[in-house]
Amino acid sequence: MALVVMIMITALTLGFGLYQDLSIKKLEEELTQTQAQIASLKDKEGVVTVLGGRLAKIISLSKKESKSAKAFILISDLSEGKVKIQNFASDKDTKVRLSAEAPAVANLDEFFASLNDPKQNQGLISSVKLDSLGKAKGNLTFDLVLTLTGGSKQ
Amino acid sequence: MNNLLKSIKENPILLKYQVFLMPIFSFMICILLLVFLIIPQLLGFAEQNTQRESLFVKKQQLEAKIASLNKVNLESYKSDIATALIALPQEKDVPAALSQVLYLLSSNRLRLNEVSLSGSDLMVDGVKAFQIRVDATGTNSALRNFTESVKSSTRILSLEKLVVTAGSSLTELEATIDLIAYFEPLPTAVGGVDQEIKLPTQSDLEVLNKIKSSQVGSGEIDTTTIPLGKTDLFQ
Repeated sequence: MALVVMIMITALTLGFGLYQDLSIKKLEEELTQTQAQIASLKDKEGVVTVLGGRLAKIISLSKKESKSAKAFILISDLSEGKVKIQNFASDKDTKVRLSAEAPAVANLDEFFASLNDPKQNQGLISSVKLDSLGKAKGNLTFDLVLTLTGGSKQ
Repeated sequence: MNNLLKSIKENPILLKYQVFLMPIFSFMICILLLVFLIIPQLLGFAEQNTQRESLFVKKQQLEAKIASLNKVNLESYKSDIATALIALPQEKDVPAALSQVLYLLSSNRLRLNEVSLSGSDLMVDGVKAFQIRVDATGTNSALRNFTESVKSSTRILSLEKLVVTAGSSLTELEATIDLIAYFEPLPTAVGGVDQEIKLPTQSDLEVLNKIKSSQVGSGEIDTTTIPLGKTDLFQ
């Protein structure tokens, strides 16, 4: 009796194994057909790949922000009505050397405070160093070295 | 043969122990079936199942890919690629890049003094590029606006370096601006059959629309406000 049961189990396992093998073979055949179908749509796949790749690069490059540009825009906005920019030089996105003149100490003070205020400087400037201060033709002249966020402090 | 079978059947030892021998024989066959057939088959089921599932998933992915590709309107995509190539061309296309720079200068009321190009190509963030150095004069606000408009130019440009000095006039500044213009050759081969594809999303289409709409203005250069430094830019 046990032998009969065992033979039946063997037959069942062999039968199921055969079914699995057949279904794998069927899936492989279907897969080959699907791959052939995709190969026939190669021109469409080409345009989708090219467009997707190019758009990804366009979006990535568009997101790239120039710290020099951001710093100049910020300094232009902060200096308006307070100081007059004489020189602005950005150096590899980390340092900005700025020369400007102010009609009075109050203007310089206000400009300096705005550069140091994280709210006003939009978190772009990590340090402001006054390099020189002088007076010419009734105006205060000064040189600043600004370290932009992400740059090394001097 | 018959004699042999007869002698086995009539073997007194066999006859004596046949009650025990039959179950032992059955047990041994059961063990053999279990060890050599059932257990290997059962162990193979897991592997077969994994293989079957992976094939099924792969087939579903490929069918989804076919469904996506069937939605693709070839002509529309070609037109979209042409639009994308305006922002990021496949070649340097120096005249188009310079035209874009001149447009940005003119629309922001900056006067061009000189323009020059870097000799060799650069590689910026894995994308080919070349440098355009522009010397221009204008007010602080004009320069500020130009700097801002570079970000939204039709052809992708980025401002690499900016040096500004006070000009001879009290209100004007002289600027040396290093711009980077990007280009990227088209791929020579597409991915394999199994490689997934991603159709453009809504945000991708918005980028394309932005390029299309900004392209309208970029061609209109008000040359009256730009005294060109060189008549032939390539000299």
